[in-house]
Amino acid sequence: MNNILRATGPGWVTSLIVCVFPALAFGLSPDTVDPVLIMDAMSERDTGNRQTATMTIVVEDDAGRRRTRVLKTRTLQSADKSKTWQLMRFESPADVRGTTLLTHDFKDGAKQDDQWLYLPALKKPTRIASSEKSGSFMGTDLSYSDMTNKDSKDYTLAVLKPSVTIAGEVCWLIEARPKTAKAKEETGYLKTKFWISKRMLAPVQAKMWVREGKKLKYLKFSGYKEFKSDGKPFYVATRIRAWTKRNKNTESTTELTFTDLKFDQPSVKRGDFDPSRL
Amino acid sequence: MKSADGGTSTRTMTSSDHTRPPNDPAAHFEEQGNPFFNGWGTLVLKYRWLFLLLMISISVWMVMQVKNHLQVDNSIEAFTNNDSDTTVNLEEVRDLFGRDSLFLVMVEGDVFSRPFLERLELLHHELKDLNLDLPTLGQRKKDRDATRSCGASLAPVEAKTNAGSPVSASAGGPDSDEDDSFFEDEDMESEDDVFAGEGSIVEELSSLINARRTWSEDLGDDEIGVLHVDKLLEPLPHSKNLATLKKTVLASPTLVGQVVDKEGRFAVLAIRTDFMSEEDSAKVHAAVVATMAKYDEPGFSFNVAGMPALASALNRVMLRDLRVLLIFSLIAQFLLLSWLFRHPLGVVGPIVVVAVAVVWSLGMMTVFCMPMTMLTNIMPAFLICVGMGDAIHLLSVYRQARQQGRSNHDAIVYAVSTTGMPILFTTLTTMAGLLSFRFSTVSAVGDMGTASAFGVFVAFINSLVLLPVLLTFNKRSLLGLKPLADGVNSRGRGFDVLGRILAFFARLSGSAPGMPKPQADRRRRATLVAMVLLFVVSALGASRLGVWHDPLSWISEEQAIKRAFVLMDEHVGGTVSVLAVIKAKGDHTVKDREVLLGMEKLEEHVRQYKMIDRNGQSKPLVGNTTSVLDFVKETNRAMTPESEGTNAYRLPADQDKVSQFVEQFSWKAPSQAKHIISVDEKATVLMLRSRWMEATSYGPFTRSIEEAAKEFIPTDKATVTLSGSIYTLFTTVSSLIWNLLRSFSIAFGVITILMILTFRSFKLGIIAMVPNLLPILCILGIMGFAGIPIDMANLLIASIALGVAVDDTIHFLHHWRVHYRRTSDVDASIQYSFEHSGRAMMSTTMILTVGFFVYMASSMQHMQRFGMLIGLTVIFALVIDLIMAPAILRTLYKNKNHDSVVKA
Repeated sequence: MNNILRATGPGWVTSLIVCVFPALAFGLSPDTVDPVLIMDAMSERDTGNRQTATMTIVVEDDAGRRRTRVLKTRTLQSADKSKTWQLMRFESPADVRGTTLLTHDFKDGAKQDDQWLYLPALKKPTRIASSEKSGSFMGTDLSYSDMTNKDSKDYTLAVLKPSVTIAGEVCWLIEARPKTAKAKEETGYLKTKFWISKRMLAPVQAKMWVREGKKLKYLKFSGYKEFKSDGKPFYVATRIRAWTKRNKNTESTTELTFTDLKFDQPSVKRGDFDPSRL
Repeated sequence: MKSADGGTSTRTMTSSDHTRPPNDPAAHFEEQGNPFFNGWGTLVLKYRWLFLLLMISISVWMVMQVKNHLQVDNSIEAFTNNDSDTTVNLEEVRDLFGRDSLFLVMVEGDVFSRPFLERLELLHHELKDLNLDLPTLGQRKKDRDATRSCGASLAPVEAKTNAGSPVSASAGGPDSDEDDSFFEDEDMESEDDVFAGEGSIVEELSSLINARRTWSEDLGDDEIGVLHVDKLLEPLPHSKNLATLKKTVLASPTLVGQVVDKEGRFAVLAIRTDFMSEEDSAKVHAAVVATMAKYDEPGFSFNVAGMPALASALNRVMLRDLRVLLIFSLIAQFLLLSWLFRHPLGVVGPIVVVAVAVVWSLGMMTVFCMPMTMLTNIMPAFLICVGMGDAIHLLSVYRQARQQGRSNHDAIVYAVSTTGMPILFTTLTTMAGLLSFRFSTVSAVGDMGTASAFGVFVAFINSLVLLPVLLTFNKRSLLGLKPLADGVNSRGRGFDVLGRILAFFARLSGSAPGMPKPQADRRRRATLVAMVLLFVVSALGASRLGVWHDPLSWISEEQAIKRAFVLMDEHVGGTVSVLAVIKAKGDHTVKDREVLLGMEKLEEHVRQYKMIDRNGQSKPLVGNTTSVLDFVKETNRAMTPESEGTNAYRLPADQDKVSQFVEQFSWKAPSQAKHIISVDEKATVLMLRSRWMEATSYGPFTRSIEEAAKEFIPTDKATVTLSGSIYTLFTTVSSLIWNLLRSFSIAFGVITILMILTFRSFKLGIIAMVPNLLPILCILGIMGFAGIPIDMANLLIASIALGVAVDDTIHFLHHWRVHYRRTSDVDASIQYSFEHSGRAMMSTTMILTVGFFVYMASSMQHMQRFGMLIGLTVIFALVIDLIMAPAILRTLYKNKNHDSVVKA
């Protein structure tokens, strides 16, 4: 479900940050104006596997107060790409060091993801049963839904601008409005605008209209790095910044930074993701 | 008695100066007009069309300003001082935890029945989707203040912070170096189409329907247990399980007193929205009530409470009352003016003067970015009453001059020249009383003082410009007086009503003409004794004055909001929140177990605090508490195997558990966590849901919390400060009282100096302050004896009353002094003063009294009191001026020969 560093089967937003192939690699013409085609291409693209990274989360409120968390992550995708396993272990601060969140994410959206939590103070894992998706992810400006795979059939999609240049990247501007009750409930958004790079088939920025409280949420993706998989390049955003605003006031900001990002790591094994080994 | 000219043993004055016997000093006296005002009157009449055009132009411009740009801020916060510790704390708490005031909806019925819960679920979802167009959603007082401080109210409210950058640097948004190249597409920042008709203004809605339940399945040693974080009522339980549900819910310390009462008769929905203006808050209140009304039926009846609802209800009733009463006041004064002056000009003239004063004052407020507040709402009515005095004095002299045969032109100039100086002085002293509010540290009070002072000044200007111009349209009317027949006042012995009352006062104080000296002296002494007695009794009453502030008591029992507060306090443990903010020191965080343990003890302490309710019963003041402890204890219970005992709803014993459970708070309940613990974990809040009391009664309670906090919270690790709307209200009222006491003292000092300058006599200036102070002392005495408290609504009475009371004194003493300087006869001068300004004083008193007494018809108690108290002050001021001032003058001044008197 909340597979933030998932290597395959990405959601529309956060997962796109991580691994993307150029649009042309999918035979997608930059002149395409079919929003479903564009969004599905992003969802279905091939990405790297056996990934490790260090993720730093900094949450800051409107008065500049900060909370910083450093986590080690590892991600594995099943051969048939129907499952993604992800492990996030807290490195700091010291009092939560060792706290681990394990997620088994199923590509089939109808199937409930599994999640386990290991708290060092309890010295045993506990499975978490929760269906909340629109809520905040670990108290950040991102929601679990932002990291969840989306089915384009649940949305009304439209290309608002076939070509717009953002930060030097030629992008499609696509609007997605949830049309099913499930999508509305899960995202909590009235609509989302994506600016998707044609070169990288990756989002450069996104803007969400949050239904509850009439707030606006912004996402910015930067620090893209190029990796190769089977000789083909793919791009990884190493920095995501999300912030929530209302009436031009920023309420809070979250920054996710990825360092030591590596793919195809032999040390990433299926056994790492066994709940009993937490 | 020997008169100043060594005349007869009886006093020399006749019944009226209009009969003027040859031996009466007053009879030969004709007041000389002030040369400046004489010239002014002539100038105005010469260029009357120019002046008329100028006044109309300015008035039209002011109306346009008011119509388009006047800001309204009816919040209690408008009375807070931005620099006070309380406000700074409150703003910081809001930065940290958001809005603390909630709309509380209470639904009565059989809560644990399937039909009730089904209906509650529907209601919950409908309220959660509440969608309104609120222009100020997300704006706080400081935002509104920032807009105002721009110096141009014309700037739109939206043009405020964070401009120029998509995310402010202070808000931790993207770095500027990247932003420049980032938002190249205007759509990213364009908010023109934001939420058009979509979204919900509700940030968080708590009720039984979404009550969180954290529980675990312990599957034994070999298997991993399951932690469930779900909603208690998802899905709605079957009827046969409701008894179990009821038992579970009513045993929960976090749910009882928050979303349900302890008997299961009331369910509560707490609606949290972002900050907004009072106007928008009123829209939300109305929308909530309208939504509830759709669900209202037997077995599902509702009430809406909470601070925003109270503020909204108070504003609604107050504004409605003010509008209605303003109209009533105008009608009453219209009738009175008609009776006094018997001519359209006598009615239209004063009303135009005050109407223009009101419009210009509001215009001035608009231009200088002063918002209308609960305080300035009363300003139009105040100006209508007070501003009319100048016009009436001028009209009174004008009609007498006309009666004596002057031409219309000469009568106008004469009236302007003789009344110009006293009404200038009365204007200055009233302005001094009002401007004393500028010394208040609360900007709303200062603004009210400035705007009202400006209005009084405008009324003065217009009495000397517009009114004379209007009077030029009078052809023959004597404005209610009858022509003199053969040189004798047609009223002759038959005084008019006002004359008879004046004669009565003169007899009472021993100032009546023809009264034998021994009798006059006896009356004088009796008057002085009565004055001393009145002073003592009033002081005694004033010493019993209480200070408290209870806006809920202002509205009648029948009002829905009052019923809601009473019911909610009675059954669901409270309607307001006091916030205890715990801030960690140094490197510590609020995850520290010792700090949390201290919080737990503090929580227990406040739950034991008792109050005396409306029925005289002792009850816990705090009905429920909310803090991070709830989640930690809940998680501990869920994570603790049953084998370790059932009493696991407690703070874990080791620090690591505590830290890791607190960490989970922002994971598992992020929307709640952000209102309870700060992002950096350096601050947390203990929310105390408390019953309603009048504001100052929270003083002992908050002191008790502060003392307990020192005892329980380790001072080397954390500090505790109190905050929240109700705490702010309490501290605001307390500081306002001292503020206004200071204002009154300053006003008194300034007016005394003005009196001395006005009369060019230290002695007379000081004497003048006695009849000024005594009416106010009388009112304070009445308030003390009647058990009327000093509260935010009547705090201004003393200063306003001083400004008003001074007017009569100045008019009376001005004419007395003018006459005394010429005639050296105390009694004759008193009589002259009675005749020259007495009727005008009576008239203005009637106008003011009726104008203020109309407020006794208000549906709100504090307005009734305000009207009654100011009205009484005005009456006392007149009576004391007409009875006691002559007695004092006759005691302290003697008849002298002309040479010595001129220096008086």
